[in-house]
Amino acid sequence: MAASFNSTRSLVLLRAIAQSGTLCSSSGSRALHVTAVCCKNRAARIRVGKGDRPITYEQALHPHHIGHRKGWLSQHTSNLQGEGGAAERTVEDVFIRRFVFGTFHSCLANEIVIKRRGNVLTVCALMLQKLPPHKFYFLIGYSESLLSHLYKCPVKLEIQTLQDKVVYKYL
Amino acid sequence: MAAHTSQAFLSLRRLNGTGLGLHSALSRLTYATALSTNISHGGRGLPDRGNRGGPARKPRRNAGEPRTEKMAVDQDWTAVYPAAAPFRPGSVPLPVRMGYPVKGGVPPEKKGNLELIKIPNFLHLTPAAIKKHCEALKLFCTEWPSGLDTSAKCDEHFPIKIQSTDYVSAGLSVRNPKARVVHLKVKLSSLNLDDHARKKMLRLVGERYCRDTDILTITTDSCPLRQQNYDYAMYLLTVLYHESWGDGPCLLIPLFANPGQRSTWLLLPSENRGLGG
Repeated sequence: MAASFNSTRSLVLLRAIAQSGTLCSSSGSRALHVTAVCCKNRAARIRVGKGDRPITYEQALHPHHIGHRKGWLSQHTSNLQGEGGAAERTVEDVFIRRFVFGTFHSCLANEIVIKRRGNVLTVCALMLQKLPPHKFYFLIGYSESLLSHLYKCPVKLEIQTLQDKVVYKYL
Repeated sequence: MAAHTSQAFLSLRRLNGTGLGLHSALSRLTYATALSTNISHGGRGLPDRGNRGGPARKPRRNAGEPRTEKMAVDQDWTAVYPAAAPFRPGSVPLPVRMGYPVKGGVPPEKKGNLELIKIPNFLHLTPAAIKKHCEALKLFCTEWPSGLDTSAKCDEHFPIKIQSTDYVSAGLSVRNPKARVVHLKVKLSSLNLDDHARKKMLRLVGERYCRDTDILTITTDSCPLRQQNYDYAMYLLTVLYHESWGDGPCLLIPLFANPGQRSTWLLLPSENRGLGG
C-alpha cells in the first residue's frame, strides 16, 4: 500500500489524516499513529523552489549521478580490491573538510577536493576573494603546517580564488 | 579628524591601564570603547580590526588577468607544469569545457569548474617532459650487456628467475604484507639431473612443476621479509637438488612405466646412508 503512493499530494493527505486522527483522540485515549513511509530519496538534493536560488554544479547533480556526470571529491587507492586503510582515509577526509570549512570561514565557493598521491595529501579548494591576500597566505600556511603535524605526512593546499560562486542553474 | 581623536583617547587609556595592575581588563575595556567610537565616527561599513582607528584602509585590489593571456605559443610547457598538480584554469591556455550541460546550454567553462580539478591530469607528462626525464635518468643507467641480446642466452646464463611484487598505495604506510611473496622459477632441463634424480625431484615437488613448460615454481611467503623468503626459496632449491641426487636417507618412489599401468615400487639405495638408514 505504501509503495503505490508516489506523490507529494498523497503524503500531504496522509499527514492531514494523521493530524485529524490525533484531534479526535485527544479526549484521553492513547494510540499509535503512523503515516505511510515517505518513499522519496532526499539525500544531497536541493528541492525546487521559486527559481531565484542559485546552485552550483555540485549541488545540482544528485548522488546517483556520481560516476556518470559527476566525479569523486576524494581519491585514494584504499577503495580498490584488496587494499586496506579505507576507514582511516575516510575519517581523515571528513576531518579535513570540516577543518578547511572552519578555517576559511564563509570563503569556500564549492566543495573541497582531496587527492592522495603516495604520502602527499593535496587539498584543492575554490575560494571567494573575501579576505585580503596576506590573510589567505597566513591561513594556508597555518592549515598546511597544522595538518602536516597532525597526519605526519606532507599536506599541500591548492587554492584558487574567484570573484563569486559559479552558478550552474537556478532552482 | 575624528579618527585622530579616537586614537589619542586609546593611547591615554592604554597608559593608565599598564600603570595599574589590572592590565588585561582595562586594555580590553579600552579596546571595546575605541572600537565603538570608531564606528560612530568612521562609518566605513565593516569595522577595521586590522588598523585600529588608524589611517584609511588600503583599497581592495582587483584580480589581475590570468597568466594565459601572456603565454607565448612556443613557451616551455615543462616550466608551467613541472610536477603533478591540479588543474589551474589560469595556467592552461585551452578553452576546455567539462560537465553536463543545462537544457539548451553548453558544458560549464573551465573557470571555477570543480570537475576539472577532480580528475587526475597529465599536463606534466607531455612528450617533451618525458624526454627531459629520460635525459636526466640516463646518467644513472648502464648499458645492457652485449652478450645477452637474446632471451635464449639469458636463460642459458641465468636459469633461475626470481619474481616479487612491490605495492604502491596512497596512505601513510609503505608496508604491504603482500610484498613479501617470492616466486622462484627454474627449468628442470637447466639443472644437472639424471633420470633417477629427475623422477625423485618430480616426486618431491609434486604440483609445483608444470609439464608443458618444464618450469618448477617455488613460492615462499612464510617469512615476514622478502629477503628471508628469497633465502628460503634458494635453500629449498638447494635441498631439493641434493635430495634428488640421493644425499639423504633413501626414499620410496613409485615407478611409472606407462600411464595407466599399475605402479611398481622401487626402493632406491642412497650413496651415503645417513641417520635414516
